[in-house]
Amino acid sequence: MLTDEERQRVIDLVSGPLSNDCFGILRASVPGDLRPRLTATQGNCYVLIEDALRVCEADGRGREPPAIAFLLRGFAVHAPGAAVELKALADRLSIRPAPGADPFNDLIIRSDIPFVDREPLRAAVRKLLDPGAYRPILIVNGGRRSGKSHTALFIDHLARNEPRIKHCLVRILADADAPEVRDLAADIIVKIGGSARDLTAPGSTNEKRLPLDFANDIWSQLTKDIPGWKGTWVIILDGLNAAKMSKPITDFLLQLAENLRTGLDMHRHRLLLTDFDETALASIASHSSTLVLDGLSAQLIRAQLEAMVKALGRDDAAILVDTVMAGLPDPSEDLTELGDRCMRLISSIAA
Amino acid sequence: MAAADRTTEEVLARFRSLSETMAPAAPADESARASYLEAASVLHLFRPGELRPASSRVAEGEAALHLGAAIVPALGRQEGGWRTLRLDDRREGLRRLANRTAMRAALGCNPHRPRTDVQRLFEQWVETGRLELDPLGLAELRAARTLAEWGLSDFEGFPAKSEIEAVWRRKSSVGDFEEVAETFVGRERELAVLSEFAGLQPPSLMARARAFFLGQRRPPLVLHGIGGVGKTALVGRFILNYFSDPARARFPFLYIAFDDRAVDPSEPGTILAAAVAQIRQQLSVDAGPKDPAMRSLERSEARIAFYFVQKDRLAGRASQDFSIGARGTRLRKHEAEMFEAFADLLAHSSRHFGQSCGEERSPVLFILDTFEEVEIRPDRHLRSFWQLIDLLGERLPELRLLIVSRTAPTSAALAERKPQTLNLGDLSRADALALLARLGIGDPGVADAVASRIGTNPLTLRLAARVLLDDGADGLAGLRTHQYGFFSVGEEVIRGQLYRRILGHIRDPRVRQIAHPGMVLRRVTPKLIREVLAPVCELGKIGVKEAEDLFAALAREHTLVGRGVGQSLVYRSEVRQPMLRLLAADKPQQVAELHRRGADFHGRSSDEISRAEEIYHLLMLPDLPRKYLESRWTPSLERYLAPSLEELPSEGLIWLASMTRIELPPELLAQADHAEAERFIGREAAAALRHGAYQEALSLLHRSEAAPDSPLSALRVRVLILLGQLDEAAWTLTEAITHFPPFGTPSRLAELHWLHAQLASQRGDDASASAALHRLLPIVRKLASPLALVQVLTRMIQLDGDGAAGLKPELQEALLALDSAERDRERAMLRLALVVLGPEFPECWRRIVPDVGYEVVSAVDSLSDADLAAVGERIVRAVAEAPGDGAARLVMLNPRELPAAAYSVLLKMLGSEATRSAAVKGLWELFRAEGGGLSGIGLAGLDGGRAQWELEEAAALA
Repeated sequence: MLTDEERQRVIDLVSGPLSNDCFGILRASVPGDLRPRLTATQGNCYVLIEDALRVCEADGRGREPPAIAFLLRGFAVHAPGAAVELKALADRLSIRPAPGADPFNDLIIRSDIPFVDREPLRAAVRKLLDPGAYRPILIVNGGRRSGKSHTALFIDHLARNEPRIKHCLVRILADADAPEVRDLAADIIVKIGGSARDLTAPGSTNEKRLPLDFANDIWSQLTKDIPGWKGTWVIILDGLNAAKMSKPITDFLLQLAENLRTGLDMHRHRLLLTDFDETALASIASHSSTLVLDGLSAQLIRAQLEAMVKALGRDDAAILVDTVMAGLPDPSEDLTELGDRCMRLISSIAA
Repeated sequence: MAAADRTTEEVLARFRSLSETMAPAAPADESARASYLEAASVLHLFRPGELRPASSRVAEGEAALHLGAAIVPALGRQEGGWRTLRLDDRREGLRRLANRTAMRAALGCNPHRPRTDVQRLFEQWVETGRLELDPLGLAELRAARTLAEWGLSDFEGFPAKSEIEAVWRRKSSVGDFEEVAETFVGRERELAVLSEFAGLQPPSLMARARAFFLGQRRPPLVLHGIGGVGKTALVGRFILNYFSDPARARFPFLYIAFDDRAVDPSEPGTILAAAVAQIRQQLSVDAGPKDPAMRSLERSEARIAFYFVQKDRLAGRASQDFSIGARGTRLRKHEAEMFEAFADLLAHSSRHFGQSCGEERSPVLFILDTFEEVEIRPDRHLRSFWQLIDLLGERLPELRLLIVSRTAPTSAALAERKPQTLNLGDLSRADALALLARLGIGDPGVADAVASRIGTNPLTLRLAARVLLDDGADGLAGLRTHQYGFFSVGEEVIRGQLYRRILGHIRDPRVRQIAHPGMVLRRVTPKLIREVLAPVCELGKIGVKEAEDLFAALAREHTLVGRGVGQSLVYRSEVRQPMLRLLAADKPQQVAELHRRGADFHGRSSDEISRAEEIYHLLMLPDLPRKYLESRWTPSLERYLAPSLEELPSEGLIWLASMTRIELPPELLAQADHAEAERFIGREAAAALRHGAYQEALSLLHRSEAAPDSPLSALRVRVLILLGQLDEAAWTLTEAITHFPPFGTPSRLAELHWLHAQLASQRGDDASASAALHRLLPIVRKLASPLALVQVLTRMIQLDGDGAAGLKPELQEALLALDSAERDRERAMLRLALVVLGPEFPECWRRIVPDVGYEVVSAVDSLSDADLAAVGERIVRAVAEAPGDGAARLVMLNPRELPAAAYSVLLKMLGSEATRSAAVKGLWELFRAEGGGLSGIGLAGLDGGRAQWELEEAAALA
């Protein structure tokens, strides 16, 4: 329900103010019937907050307001400096998403994030997630802020609506330290349910083999069956462009891709690479598809937004969309501003 | 209030209000932000809630509030809630601090900080004000690069970024070898041989004379020796000797190890992909983007990428090449161009490195490690590999090919290249003593006695040292060694005895028992200990906790085991293989029982590792359950089983080789049963086909009497067609169809009828072709996949024109019945089917095009500008009357931009009912321009009835 960035932001905002009595405050802020589900009861405040967020997010939209919004408003009381931000987020999460027949076609993902057009992307993702997919690797590229990273949000949206999909997202930020292969592997393994301790220890093998062993460790974690679940795992790596690549990371990715596409569970494993230098995986090109996102014409955006606003029950879509689109270039290559405006419009209509 | 109840004005007012509140505002308290920023900028990692600001006047616990988006997650440290700073903010924070004194003070605010490599190196510089790069290892150099990104190079005493990069590039290109060369001693003679071979040392008179006669070219050098003897360490030492000293001349070197899964010797493109990445790293030390070597590198990279894309495209049906032969020729052409570009890159690299030290050219060292993995493959599968090697040898007199293998060269292909060999065997006595000293045997007298008693093999010496360290000087008493009686005792037997002593040393007798005879199992887990090892190794019934304790105790025996995938231990092969032979002789019944129980245990699970272990144990036992083994087999298991080839009895080895691409000696091949022999012949014939050796493929196929429903029957017909022996092909086909068993596999019969139609077309007899397709039609209607039906109907409509128009509704129905994977797999053929279907079926186009259409853009690349312009005109005409600006967006476009733009516009128009009909007409024109065909190709959609080897060889047989 929260994006990874939002979850981390909430933890960062409240961990300081809550530190004196972290578990006590958390217990009080979680709806009563969910309290027994808290698994972490002591220790690192970050872990406790993460656990509480997980419990409330897992509760979904089964109550009014949703448990996650209830929790965030509770946090706001104890973190007055961050109260405005926390309440705004709680409001957005309280918006009930318009029900769609097919999550692959939804124009609004989560409850307030627009996902307009992107027909080729929807088709490519649908194909990727098909259990019989012929190509288990999808590479999504495009200009700066063309919506590549939104692909991960779309997968997140699908995973919340389709129990057969699980995913993990690792985002490599352009304006952060270049990643080391161990860090990358650790992030993935933690997000698929393992621990960084499950990775091959340095020194137990040579430097050359280490990236390959990390890939094997991740594959091993992935193949640990969740009882009764036979769905699809999607590993999403965002931002591994040429500037962030290194030879160990290339070796790691090649081995990971090889494991995922040839293993016995290959029909259940997928790799999605956004903003990625595809020449790094040239030798497995026959197992991957590449999609390049281009700008959206104003005409198309308008049509899609009007459809989206109508789906929210408004008959004044044309006027509202006029306001959203005022001053946007045509075609729109940078979709960040459009996305922000749409989010505000959805909040204005639905909150 | 419901969403629909708000007035337009209310919604707009709220929208504007949100726009104002969400606009980025300057932080409320700039001094608090600065204080937090200064504190955070000296910490590699921090937790925002615990971060203490630099100033005591600022409230604690509010870092996230004041630093906002400057805080980002620390990749790989999510578990602990660690964060880091965005680079721009960090640079700002450090600039604010301005000097090391202020940085030291800021560090003091947060004394409980994680000591990462980056943090340690940063603090070292803060304390000392300097940083020497040459003594740094790779991990520290990585940290130095990060610190340079932080902007520390702007401060006094910290090296410039370019300086760090230069050292990093130099060291990282050889970093892989640092560890393996760590315990290396001596081997001066072998190092000299390598130096002389590489052309880095003045050769002897004899060698100089030889070089003269050979025109400076050198045959490959094969460095061989048993596992663990130190081959890679020797190569590593050799490379490090040259590269760790910046003053020494450098030369390009490539290191490819065939135990890397990403490298496949039967697909040399994978070798080149790995090789160019290494060359890039080496050239980037001092070659700018305009350097000819760098440009050549880019050309080579582009060629490799192009080759793989083309390979993928040519494996599909309905390409522009109308036969297996034509497609094979085209692929070999792309492969040859890729090889040429790579040879050109090596030549440029040789000049680049040579000129940097005043020579015209430098040697180019190409190391192929773990070559035993290549030697187990039949030569026919390695044709391209050897073509590459030969081409490099021809183009590049400076090439020095160093092959590193556990075994002396055995394959005919390698023997043809007349390699020199260098056997890495025992150490000199002095080196042996030095190695013992390095391993902790400090007393020269003891070391000398050890060398006298057990010889100077490094692997044996390592074991002896371990025994001596455990047992003291008497540890080797009673050992049967070289001097035992009248017989010479092999190294392996000595090692086996030493391992036994090491095993004997395991303090816990129960751990000793599960290791011996338990190492019959290749892989050990706590569950295996409980259910398989404990009963057979006479530990009786044990609980979960006890099994876990035993597992943990065994894991501490690093000489014996390493970590495997998941929670498992694997025995080191150099330990296990000699021990296994001793065990089989000493305790045959226990060994057999362990294999049986091991197979039973793993047979209960379906994951890949369990299947591989189950098959391994079954192959070790007599009376192979072949059908069952085949049901458990999947091609990815080859990598798990290949390391144990030497352990397998003949029967098991023959079966495994028949399922993989592993070469068998003729005497074992003769023992193969009919099914196994058919698999061998099929694979070999497919490999010959791939390389255009049709006559050779036919000879192979003549070796076996193929039944009419055997895959070899259809393969033989194809080869005969390729050879132009059409009468014999027709006769073979007629015989096979006539005698096809009534309950034979329908897809095999379908394939024969399809070939019949193909053959008739090739002879210009369209009537016979059409008749054959009519006989085929009822068969493909019953097949599980509609792909074959689509292909047959497409061909029938193509052949019969208007006469077959009545089949179009059935073609539409078959197209719509395809699932997503089927559409994805046969995209080119399905585009052709749509063209044949025609634009009068818009709904079918709407549903199929998004899955199969996008690559038409590159498929029409080969058209001339004039042809593309003509296609563009037809598309514009097709959409001219449609609503919207579709046509307007396509006029005036450059012909080269047209396909991509047209596809994008038409795809969007296809989504709207109002413009769909026009869009389909436009797409029909675009797809038609591709010009694919169905002559000379196999029938799609038959995978369900194919043998595994056929699926694996699909690229050759499509």
